[in-house]
Amino acid sequence: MGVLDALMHGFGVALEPARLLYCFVGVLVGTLVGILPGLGPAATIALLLPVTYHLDTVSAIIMLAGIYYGSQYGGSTTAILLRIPGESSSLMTTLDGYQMALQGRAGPALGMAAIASFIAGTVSVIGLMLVAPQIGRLALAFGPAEYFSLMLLGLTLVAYLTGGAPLKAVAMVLAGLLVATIGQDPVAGTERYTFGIGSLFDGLDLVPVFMGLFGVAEVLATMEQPPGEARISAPKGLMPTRADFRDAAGPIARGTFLGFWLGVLPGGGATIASVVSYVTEKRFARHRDMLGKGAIEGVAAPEAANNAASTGSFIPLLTLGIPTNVVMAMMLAALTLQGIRPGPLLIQQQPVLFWGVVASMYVGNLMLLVLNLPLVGVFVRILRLPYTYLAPVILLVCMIGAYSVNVQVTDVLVMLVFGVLGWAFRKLGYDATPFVLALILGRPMEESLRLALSLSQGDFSVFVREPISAVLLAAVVLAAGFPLLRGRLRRSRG
Amino acid sequence: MTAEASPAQRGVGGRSQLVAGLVVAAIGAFALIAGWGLDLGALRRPGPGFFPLSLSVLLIAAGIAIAWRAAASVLAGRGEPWPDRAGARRVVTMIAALSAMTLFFESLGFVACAAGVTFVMLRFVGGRGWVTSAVFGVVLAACLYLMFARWLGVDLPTGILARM
Repeated sequence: MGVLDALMHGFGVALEPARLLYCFVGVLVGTLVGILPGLGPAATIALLLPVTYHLDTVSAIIMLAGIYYGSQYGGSTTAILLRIPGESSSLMTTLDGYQMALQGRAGPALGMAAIASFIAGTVSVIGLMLVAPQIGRLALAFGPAEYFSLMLLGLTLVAYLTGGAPLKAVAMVLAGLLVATIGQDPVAGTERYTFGIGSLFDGLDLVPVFMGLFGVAEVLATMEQPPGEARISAPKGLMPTRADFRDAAGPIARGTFLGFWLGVLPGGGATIASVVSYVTEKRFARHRDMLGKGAIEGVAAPEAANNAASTGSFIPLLTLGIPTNVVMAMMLAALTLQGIRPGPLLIQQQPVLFWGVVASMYVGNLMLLVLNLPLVGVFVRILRLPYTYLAPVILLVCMIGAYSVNVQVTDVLVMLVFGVLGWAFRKLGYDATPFVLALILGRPMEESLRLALSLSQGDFSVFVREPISAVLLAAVVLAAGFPLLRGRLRRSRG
Repeated sequence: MTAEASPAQRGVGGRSQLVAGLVVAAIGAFALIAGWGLDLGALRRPGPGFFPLSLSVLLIAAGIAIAWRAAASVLAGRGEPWPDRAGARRVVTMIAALSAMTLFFESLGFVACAAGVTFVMLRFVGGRGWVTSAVFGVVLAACLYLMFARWLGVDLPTGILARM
């Protein structure tokens, strides 16, 4: 079956009325959480995980995917109008977007953000379609040694790329891997760290942990501030001028390309993509000296990049079963709940799922473009809704979600504990992302390490004798060594 | 209203960072002691203790390194500042309300707990009026119950509502 046939088949799946509805719900919810500061796509997907039990797999993933790329559209709205990034990935958009708004050009900035997002979103879906099957084929040759090295590389990159002090990120990775060992050991079935508590026997459930770290912690941190009201007015005239389009064409193309590949990279994702593309424009943009003072390039490039990255990050998840950022970790949890283990065979074994979701992304991006441009006024009104009223809704939905996983209060308690922990992590500058990814990768990593060592009769050199594994480990050394080296250089110079 | 948090504002200081590093090391030490009896196995057949115990040792090392660097004040000023007195009161109030809800979740039921938490959040954290907070609490709890328990079929405890 060729790519085109498969895609046509996928459209057949995605265009069924029920699927269209779930896609619409997904992108609409995504746009809303993108707009609302203090509620990100990761927390939202965690909130909706229990709801997806009742859906079929394809509809569930279509909806959750829509939330992710939809939030990239929505995040720009607050960034431009209020200089508040709705998502961390729209942080760069605040720089020029807000300046444009001050100069009375909020409309064109919002319009360009939506258009750049649409172009990047659509182009990167084509990339996803072409690249994913290739990587899937390559991954068929992966044994336990390769998988272990790959996951190690993923965690190393996450530790160094998520920002903050690398040492703290390393500690979070180790803590996450350690917490993942709670419960039955994956090979022999020995109980570990259960302390005789029955509900720990199968390990910590991921959903309450996610909801605590991303839902409850966020509410605690936001409500800690005294309540304030946002005052903004709806902009008029959304169409960018012809000159705007001319200036933005290059940045959109560069942002899309960079964003897509940074999304594929473990530890990459929308936030880093937007930063890198902005920095790139500082070198290449037509009005690079105007960047930061309200240049349209400064809106177009990061908005293209964060959308392209959100699509690109589906590739490692769907072909290797390895999530590269928190949102993909939630996706993996959703797939697992549905009884699907993504891996190299996913595209062949679940063609309806893969191509249906890909096709839904084309449809979803189109919906977002249509949705975003005329509805900006409505979204601005939503922003006036005080967070005070939103906070209890988020908390209660988290509670329901955590409770409904196994219908036991222990999970609510776990969520609460991780909520408080997540709040403390923020205060102390520990990023929760490495912890969550390590928690998810812990079991498969231990399994592949132990399997690789048993197969090689305890010979550690298996990790460097297998060529793919050796290359991956070399990348680990490079990734871990580079920041250290740079620090040395800077110190010896300074 | 207190001063707004700007990106340039310094986060929590070196002493908190030092304590955090020691806590990290302590967690590693706890895991090492709690998992001491686990079978390490041999290299050719690693046992259930191999992975967690190596991680514990690494975590202790990472914690000590963090504490060391914090003591040398390399890590100060990262993260966000601790809340002021009013902010701390708000956070503690929220945690207390949520803990109470968890404790009484099954005996009082979802609706009563949810209305209570919402009331506390609005009245004592958000600074809204008594009536607004109470009405919003009851309405929100009822709406969520109808939506999740009735419509989506989520199994939520009815508690005192069932007895009435």
